[in-house]
Amino acid sequence: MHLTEEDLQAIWLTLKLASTVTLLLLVIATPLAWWLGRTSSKFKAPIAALFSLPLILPPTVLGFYLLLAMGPNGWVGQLTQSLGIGLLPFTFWGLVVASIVYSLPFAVYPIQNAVEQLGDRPMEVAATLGAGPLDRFFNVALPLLKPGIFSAAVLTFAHTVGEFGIVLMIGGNIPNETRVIAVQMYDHVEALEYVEAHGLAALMLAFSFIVLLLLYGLRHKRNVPHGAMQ
Amino acid sequence: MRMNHESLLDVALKLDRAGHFALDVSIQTPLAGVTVLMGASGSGKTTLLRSIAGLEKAACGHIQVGDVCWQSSTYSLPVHKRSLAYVFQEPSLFPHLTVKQNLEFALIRSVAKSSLDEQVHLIGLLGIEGLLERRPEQLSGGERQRVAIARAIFRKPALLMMDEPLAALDTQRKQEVLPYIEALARETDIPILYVTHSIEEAARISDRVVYLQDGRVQTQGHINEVLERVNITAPEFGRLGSAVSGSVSEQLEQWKLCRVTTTFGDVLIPNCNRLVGEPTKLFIQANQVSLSLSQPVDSTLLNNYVGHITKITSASESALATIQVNLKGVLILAQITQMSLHALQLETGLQVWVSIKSAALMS
Repeated sequence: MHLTEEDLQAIWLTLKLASTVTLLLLVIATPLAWWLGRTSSKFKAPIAALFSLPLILPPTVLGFYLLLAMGPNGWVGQLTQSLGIGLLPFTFWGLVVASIVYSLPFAVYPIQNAVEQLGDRPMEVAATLGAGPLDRFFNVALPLLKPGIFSAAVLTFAHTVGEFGIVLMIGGNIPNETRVIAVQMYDHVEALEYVEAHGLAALMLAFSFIVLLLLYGLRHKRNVPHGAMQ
Repeated sequence: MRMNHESLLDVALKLDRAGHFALDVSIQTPLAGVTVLMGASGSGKTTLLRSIAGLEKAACGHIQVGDVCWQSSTYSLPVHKRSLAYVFQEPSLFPHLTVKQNLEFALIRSVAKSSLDEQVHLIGLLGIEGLLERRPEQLSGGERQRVAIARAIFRKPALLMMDEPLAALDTQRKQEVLPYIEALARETDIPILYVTHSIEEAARISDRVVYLQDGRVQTQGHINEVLERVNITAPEFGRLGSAVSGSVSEQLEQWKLCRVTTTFGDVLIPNCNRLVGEPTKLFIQANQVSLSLSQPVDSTLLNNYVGHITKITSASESALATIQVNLKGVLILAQITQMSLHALQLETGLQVWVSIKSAALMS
């Protein structure tokens, strides 16, 4: 398999983007999933629907709105400018923000599922054993949600690695800044460089298969639903 | 040590679940020994227990445990700050921790925690020495519940709450765990609030019973008094019977029997491995008690006493009737057929001979 200097750059950038997005999303999605999984608020449905939009919206539509919001006249753009960060579109951090929005449901769903399966009981048990709210969250809930959080991390990472439309809309095609594997691949094909395209494509194929293998393998191993009280 | 006999558990709680269910309970009970909350399904006993623990946020009223206020109209101590321990109906060990780590979870977070000696003693008492390094999924249901009980007591709570701790176990496991709970009630000085709908469980471990119906306290007192006042024969309450206190007075080695002396006379029971002089409790199932109008002679029955009928309960749809007999102040329940009731023309006040076919030794 032949990989050019630009290919390696794209791979490195993709991994950096996916890791950053995964890390930030876990921090954002866990409390959100916790709330969605336990609340009986009337706002649950609209909020869940809102955060799930990226599942069905074409990436170009989402990218378009994000581009407007982050642009010089958008409210995010105005905010970032007044904070002295400048404008986000066509930068690495613009891609990070867009990817976070785009991959949010993939991070929230597995964790929310785990929270719902967990139920109230473990937290009640912990409270009757003298554990306060934060103690309960970190020492009971988080360990029991670990498989859900792991699934969320793997899905988010893989989903970010595989995105294309939103990258083109927000990031464009700037080497070392926004040119990720999918864009690099597109460039190869456009330039009829099929040999190079084959290299990257095979890499992505292998990566995707391994990710799914990991997820299903994990699910299979858990014959006892994790988090169930014993 | 909380052996202050003055201390009381004083609870007045209301909880309204619009439409379905309302709890309106006021209880004052000594903060010592075992208080059993009894009642049919849906009578509110579990909800009451959860409310006292602080797990039902909607419950309002006041809760005073000895000299500590857990809840008043303006104040509610968070669950984790109440000196309580709670054994849930279904197993509630943390699956991500070993047995030992589960026990430590309680120890680390408790103010009054038990001493090392007490811990070792308790682990022995509950027979879980060999399980410490295991994970909950490697334990049987009975073992899990024993560990959960140990974990609760490690906290040395001011009040130990147990919500039908045997309900999720099959009969065999129940018989496995119940003696441990009896031993605990005897050996620790932690007051216990115990929810059950089994008459036998209540008879075996209770010092007093609070009987709930439709979210209210119907009656309270000694188990036999409660059984006297309320008519509970529904199958969910299990085997109907009476609790009798006594002490072992003689071992009849030759016949493999022992003599238990009670206020109404001696009861001979088989296979008891107790020492002479040991105080004990008997559970006499109502269907093991028969009645006759004259003294049984030439009978194989060993245990015969004379008493008076104090109450007859029968329902037209059932073949059986429950007769309560006063034996020198002890109330014994007998279950006989409606046919016998009719044939012997039994009525309240009548003198009858009571024969006890068998009795089970409890704690």
